[in-house]
Amino acid sequence: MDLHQIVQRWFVIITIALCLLLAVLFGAVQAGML
Amino acid sequence: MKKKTLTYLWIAIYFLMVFLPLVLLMIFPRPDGREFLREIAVALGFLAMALLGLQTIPTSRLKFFTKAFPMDTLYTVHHKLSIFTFILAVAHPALLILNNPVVLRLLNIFTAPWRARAATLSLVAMLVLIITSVWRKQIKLEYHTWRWGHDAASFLAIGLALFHMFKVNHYMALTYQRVIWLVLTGIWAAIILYIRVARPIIMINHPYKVVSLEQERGQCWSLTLKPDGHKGFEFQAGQFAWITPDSPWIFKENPFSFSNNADNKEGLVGFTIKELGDFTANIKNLEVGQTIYVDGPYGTFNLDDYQEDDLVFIAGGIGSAPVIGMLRTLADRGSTKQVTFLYGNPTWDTIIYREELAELEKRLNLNLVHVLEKPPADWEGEKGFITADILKRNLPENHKDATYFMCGPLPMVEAVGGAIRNIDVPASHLYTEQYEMA
Repeated sequence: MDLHQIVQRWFVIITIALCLLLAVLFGAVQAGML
Repeated sequence: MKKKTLTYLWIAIYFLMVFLPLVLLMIFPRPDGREFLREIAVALGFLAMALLGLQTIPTSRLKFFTKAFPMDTLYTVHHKLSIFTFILAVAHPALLILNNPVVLRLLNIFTAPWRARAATLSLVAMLVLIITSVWRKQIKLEYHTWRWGHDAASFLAIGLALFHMFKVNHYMALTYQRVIWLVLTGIWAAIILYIRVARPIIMINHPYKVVSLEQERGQCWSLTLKPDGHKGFEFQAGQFAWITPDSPWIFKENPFSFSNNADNKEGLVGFTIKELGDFTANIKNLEVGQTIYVDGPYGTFNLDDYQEDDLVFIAGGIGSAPVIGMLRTLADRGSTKQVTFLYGNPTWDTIIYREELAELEKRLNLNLVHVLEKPPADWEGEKGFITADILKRNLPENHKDATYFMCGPLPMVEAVGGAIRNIDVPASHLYTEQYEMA
């Protein structure tokens, strides 16, 4: 696995994690839970 | 700007375009909130929209983008994030239905309002994109037919999703949200216009002519082109270009690595092409003087960024094309750096450029190691596939400090990549290129 493959793997993982985190955070803020 | 800085800058801009609309929505005044599940569904819808539009970028072959990322990396990211985008897009209505089952009626395409119909059709278009891309070969879809269909379905999916989002008009009633999404839509439209209109015009205005076409071993052909009425472009040994003998307007170009000397003064571009698929099977029918259209150069797999290091090349079969280009360029420059080339082939008779490689051994500080799957009876060299043992026997003593370039079919790249890691070569020293990207 070269450097770009490592960047590529983390890029995809971080994108997925941030999407899910932000969606839940937005839901919680708008529902008055936070 | 350094390549590493450029890479991180583009990643930051990409994240900004995906998350900015939702982050601003959480910071600035907005309509009152609703149920938890419903708001999560809305957020997933926004994120799916942003990711869907941004899928136009990785495969766009924009030069300022391909300088930072290898093309195969961009295609892999595109594949993975496209599937994730579809999952988000499906989760959007699924959570709305879970929150309030009455929403189910919006899936009835005959009775639903147009905003819901557009969303359903966009999801269908995305499903078609996923199925035809993941299982293209199984459903026997010819590459160029798939490419046209892929473009049409992408255009539909993005257009219908945008229509849905603007028509729902809840958070989109906010002026700043409208402005952000219009800007994003403008960027995606500009990229599509560049790919479909500007690039064909550029290619047509910079044609090439066939100078020579020579048969090599192993059903391979050496094709040399020269610029016709223009200066051509500069490229770095190891890079590649898309070429086509057909009109650029029908988008039938194929990618090939440059295999000629990158420092030639006439703007010549040379390729070594193996007869494999539709286009390559007809390569022998090209005629001297025929017009060819070239789009390039592309690729971060190149010699010039690693001037100081000793080099190790590893290639299988036609994967030697960029390596031959790099060796010819090094020889032309009178390079004295230590070069090791491990070259895997099925048999002695299928080794492309066998005699020229023997000559290059005399001109360069080159340790050429042939590895044959089916060697002749009296063969005393390396046999089988390139393994960790073969690497250990043939790499220089300072192999941890060398820069590695590897090119070949995916199974070879993965297997040898693992073997290289096992001998403690840092990942940052290894650069790979695979044959197949689409």
